[in-house]
Amino acid sequence: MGKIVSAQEEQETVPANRSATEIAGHNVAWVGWMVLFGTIGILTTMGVQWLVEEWCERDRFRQSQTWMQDQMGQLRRGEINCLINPDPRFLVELLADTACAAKVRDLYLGGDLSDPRLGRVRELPNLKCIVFLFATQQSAFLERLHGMSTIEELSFDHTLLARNDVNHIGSFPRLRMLRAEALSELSDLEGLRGHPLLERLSLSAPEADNKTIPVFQSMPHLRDLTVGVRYDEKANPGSVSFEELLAKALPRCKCRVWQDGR
Amino acid sequence: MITLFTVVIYWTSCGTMDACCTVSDNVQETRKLISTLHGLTAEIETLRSQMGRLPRDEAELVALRGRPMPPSHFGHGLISYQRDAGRDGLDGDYHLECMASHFWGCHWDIFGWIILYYGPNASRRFHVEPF
Repeated sequence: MGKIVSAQEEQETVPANRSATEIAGHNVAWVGWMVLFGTIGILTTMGVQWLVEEWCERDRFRQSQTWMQDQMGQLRRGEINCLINPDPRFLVELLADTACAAKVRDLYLGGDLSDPRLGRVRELPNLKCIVFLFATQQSAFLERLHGMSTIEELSFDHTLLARNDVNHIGSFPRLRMLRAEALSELSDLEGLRGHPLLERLSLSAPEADNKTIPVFQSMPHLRDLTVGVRYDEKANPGSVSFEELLAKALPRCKCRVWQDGR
Repeated sequence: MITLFTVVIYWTSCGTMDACCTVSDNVQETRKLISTLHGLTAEIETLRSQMGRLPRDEAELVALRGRPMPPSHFGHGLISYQRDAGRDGLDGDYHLECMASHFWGCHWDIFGWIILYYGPNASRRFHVEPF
């Protein structure tokens, strides 16, 4: 009822001399203005966003450059022997200073590692340890380091490793310690079979796999093995545990098996 | 209309600028934290070589350093020092512990993280657990 009344009131406000065509034209004009303003607004917003992002990128560039210079200063003074998340754009600066580059022993990496310039870390002459923390696209990076002879220690935290990554890891001839927290499955370890120097291995995978025991046995220097597996409630209670099997198969190695989710 | 237009552009610009700066600052915080943990471990190892043993606990470490433990850079208090001898599953002799809300500019988990940084004798270097 109320609606009818308001419609009538509206009709009364329209001047009698204005035809229905004029009213329609008026509405179309309004829509036109709205579309015009909207388009200009969107374009301006996009332009401003682009400018702001450019400004932020310049700021990030400056920050990364300062960070690299700070780290190089600390390396020169002997305060640190590590390089933390270097911006690939400034690796050239570090590598140009051979004395400084020679002092880098540990490297911490995280985020997207797909930049090919990062592969130049293989030119660091004394790089022994790489820690991957929340890294993504590490496969390309590992491929670039394939066979690097100075690497002795690798640690992957919150970085999911695939079989191909393990194959690259197995190519580091002097690797002594590996910690891979997120393997897609234990059978991916095939790439480490017969590794000549690997001593300490700490792994985590969804489930225990007895087929990997020969891989561990094939490593002549393995003396410390920690395997984390997801707890499986359906496992046979009377069966021999994975830890016992490992202990029997590797008598000279300290073996521990963790069960997550218990 | 013009006011609305100005407000939208201002709001978008501020939002984008804030997001970019936050990511940049967070990456820097992660870098600083790792640098601090690395430096602190080097100090502890120097003390170990000087005394022939590790500091018994955090109080002794603070006394030996002559200054309080460094901050975690994430506004979550100080880094703590803990001995691991005899604790289940921790094969090293000590670790440093602190909290972080993000890594390299990404939160990854809404509740934050506990960072464990181990001494050189442990079979692990770095471990990050969800809070």
